[in-house]
Amino acid sequence: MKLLYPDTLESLQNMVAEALAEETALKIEGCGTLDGVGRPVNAQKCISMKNYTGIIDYDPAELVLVARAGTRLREVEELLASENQLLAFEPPHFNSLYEDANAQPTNQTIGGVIGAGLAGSRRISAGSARDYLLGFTAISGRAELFKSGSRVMKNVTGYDLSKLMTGSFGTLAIMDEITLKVLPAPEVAYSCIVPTSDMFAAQKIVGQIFASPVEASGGVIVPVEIAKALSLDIGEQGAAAIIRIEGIEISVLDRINQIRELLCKTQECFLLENQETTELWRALCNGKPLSKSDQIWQISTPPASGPSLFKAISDRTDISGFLDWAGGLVWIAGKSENLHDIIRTELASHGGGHATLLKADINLRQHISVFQPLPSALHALEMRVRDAFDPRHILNPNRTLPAIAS
Amino acid sequence: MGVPSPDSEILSRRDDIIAGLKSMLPDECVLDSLTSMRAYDADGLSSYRQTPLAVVLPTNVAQIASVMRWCKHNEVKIVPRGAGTSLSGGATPLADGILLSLAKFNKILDIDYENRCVVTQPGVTNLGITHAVEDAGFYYAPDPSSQIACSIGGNIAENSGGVHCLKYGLTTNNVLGVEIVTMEGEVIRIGGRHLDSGSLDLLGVLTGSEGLLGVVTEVTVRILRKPSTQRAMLVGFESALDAGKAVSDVISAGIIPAGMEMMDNPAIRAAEDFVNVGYPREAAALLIVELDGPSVEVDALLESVERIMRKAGANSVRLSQSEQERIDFWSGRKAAFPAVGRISPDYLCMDGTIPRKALPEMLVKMSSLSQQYGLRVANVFHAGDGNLHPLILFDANIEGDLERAEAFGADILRHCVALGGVLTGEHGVGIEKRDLMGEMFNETDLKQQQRLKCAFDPQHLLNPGKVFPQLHRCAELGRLHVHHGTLPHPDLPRF
Repeated sequence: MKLLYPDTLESLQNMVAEALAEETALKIEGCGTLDGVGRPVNAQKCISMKNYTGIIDYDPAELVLVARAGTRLREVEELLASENQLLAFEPPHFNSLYEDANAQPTNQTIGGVIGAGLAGSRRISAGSARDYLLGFTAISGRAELFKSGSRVMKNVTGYDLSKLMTGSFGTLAIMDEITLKVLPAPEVAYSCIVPTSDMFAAQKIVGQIFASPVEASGGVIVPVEIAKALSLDIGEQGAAAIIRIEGIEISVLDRINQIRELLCKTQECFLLENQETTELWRALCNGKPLSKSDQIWQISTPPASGPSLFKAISDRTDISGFLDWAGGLVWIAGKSENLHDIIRTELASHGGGHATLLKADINLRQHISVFQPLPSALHALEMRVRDAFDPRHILNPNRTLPAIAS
Repeated sequence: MGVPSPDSEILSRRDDIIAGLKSMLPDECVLDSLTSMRAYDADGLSSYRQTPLAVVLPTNVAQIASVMRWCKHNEVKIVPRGAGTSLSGGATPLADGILLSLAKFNKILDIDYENRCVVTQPGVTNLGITHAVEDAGFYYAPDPSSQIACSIGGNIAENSGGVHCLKYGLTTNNVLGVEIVTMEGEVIRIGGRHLDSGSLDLLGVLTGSEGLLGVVTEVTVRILRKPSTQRAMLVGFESALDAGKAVSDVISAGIIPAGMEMMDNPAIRAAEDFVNVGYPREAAALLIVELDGPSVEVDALLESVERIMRKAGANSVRLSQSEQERIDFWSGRKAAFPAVGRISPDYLCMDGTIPRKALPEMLVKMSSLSQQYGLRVANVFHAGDGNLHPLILFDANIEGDLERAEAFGADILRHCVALGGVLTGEHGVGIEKRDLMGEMFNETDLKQQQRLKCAFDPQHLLNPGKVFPQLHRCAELGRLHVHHGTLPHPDLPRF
């Protein structure tokens, strides 16, 4: 595969125009960290955005940052941290999941984060990448430069194409400049860990806290073996609820007391302070407890369905995993050859939602549907939307191609 | 402004079209007399009135699907309508189109406290959702000023905001799923009680698409637990510029209030005369800052906010001491539009957004434009997120006044774009701002947006004449012009 490294808008546009004229497929990547997500792309050329870098503008008072697509996530996060700000959607750093790929820990790009629509544990309270992309410029599969959105928080001028770009895995257009909304970083963060008999009991507690005025910023349910992997001592119990509270200190301490009252003092709960909390949630967001597994899935389902879905799958095959998003994000690692079928059938009968194969060898990704199969009418509509941006299918062809649900 | 001129061929088929509609719907669901259609001839942009070809009020999804399929087959246009409160003419009827009202889709289908969401029909009002869940301590966060009347389906179409979206986001950040009927009559479900789509985010692009892509027939929204404490602060300033700067200072200090609103002197006076809640009538500008959360947090942050306000030059600060007082503080702001309606025979409500820091500059520009056009203007802002609502006062009985007011409004919006802002923050483009789209987007941008439209509705039958200044045929938009190895548009402007 011929590698191309555009570093100016003009060179990027020329490369796409040439591919369009020749009708040759292009693989699109940042630094390749997320190469293991989605179906393998068969293309003659690869546009790598690794040199397409630079923070164009950062205005802390306006809560806005503009960066070119290949800018490293780490660089963005470090700059924001210097002004006590952050990306509230807590994008995971997935390099640890794909160690075998040629990814360097510092290389995940902001374009990759948006292209894959990544979000961490704060998804449940603060939203996802989609909620923070204010606007962008991009080169479409028609080799045309276009823009959408702006740099202000409140904007309904024209279609919100930022939403479409987020999670489109470079199949609609190649992003040039990305404008993000950023937020003040919380002053302190505490974790409250409640050991419970099983994951059902833990999810009930998390649900109860999210239905209270406590304003938790994360709710995770782990079985005992994951608790151990995270060095959390939950004694003889089978699972734990982990709740994160963030904000100004006086408020965080007050809300921890509220949690204690909610638990009616019948349930024990222990705390982790700032540093430990940061490390714990970083590990959870990045799927670290499962990172050694060869096959990893992420399933989005209604929060209350999480434990029963997890149990239904584990009743049929050997898996490990945990629940994030108050139960609504099920992480599963397994080995079984038919794990794919088990997940899709159990998901359909336990609340519904969508399952994505986050990590697997190239062979498996080639032969099963990596993304949730779609009903035929929705599938046809999606195909027409893709054609509206990339009529010749030159951008990352097949990378996300969803199957049609039977 | 205005809508495309009607197709006389369609008008000549009116009787057949009405007969066609009546073959699919019960008689009482089709209105075709002038008197029965009068209530539907305009939305909130009431200077533009047009009697539609017919009005249909279906009662179930199958009826909507057959009407859409039939209209596609017979090439008849459709304008969807929720509660008709759009301020940009999103539901302005077409003389040669059918108005499809969702008014009978007025039931909440399920309240799911375990997953903290509500499944509802689109005709339920925004406030109706909160009313249904408030006994259990929950609410639906986006709160447009028209929330007592506007429908949740209309909120999806316009991506409505409100005073609390500074902290809680707009409609798009609070919707989990929709069911839509496409122009082909297909019923498609996107999202649900879970988060995100796992494929292209069509839910995100449908939200705010102004009824041009599909008709929403069911909505799932997330609900939030009410914060334990809400307190508001009224802050008066002698200088509007100082007030504008104070808004920026609060955000810079890392504080994101639940809402941060600003009113200028004409708006303060009009509101105070209307509701009498003790707004400082002499102040040049008034800020209402609301904080919510645990009481210790609210008290601590209010202290910081007060310090920032005083430093920025505030000369009066009042803190709500009771829930009633908090509601009173808001009552003037929430009644600002009708209050201004009392001091002027007519007013135009504009809606643009600018970067927060440009607020002082915008205020200066606005007063010079006001002098230039000889029209008064009263300002209410969602200052925290830079969203402006200038109310331009005029008298429609004076010849040329409406046109002058519209030109004044267009100048304000142009200046919003020049300052790095946008044409509309929450009211939508509709017909009102359609012809200004070129101020913000170039031809390539607009064509790309229209190609998306073509993926949903290649014949431009659904709500045509809204949003886009010029309609291109989809076949023409789909054409590619490529020469070997050369750019399709070598002269493309860079921005």
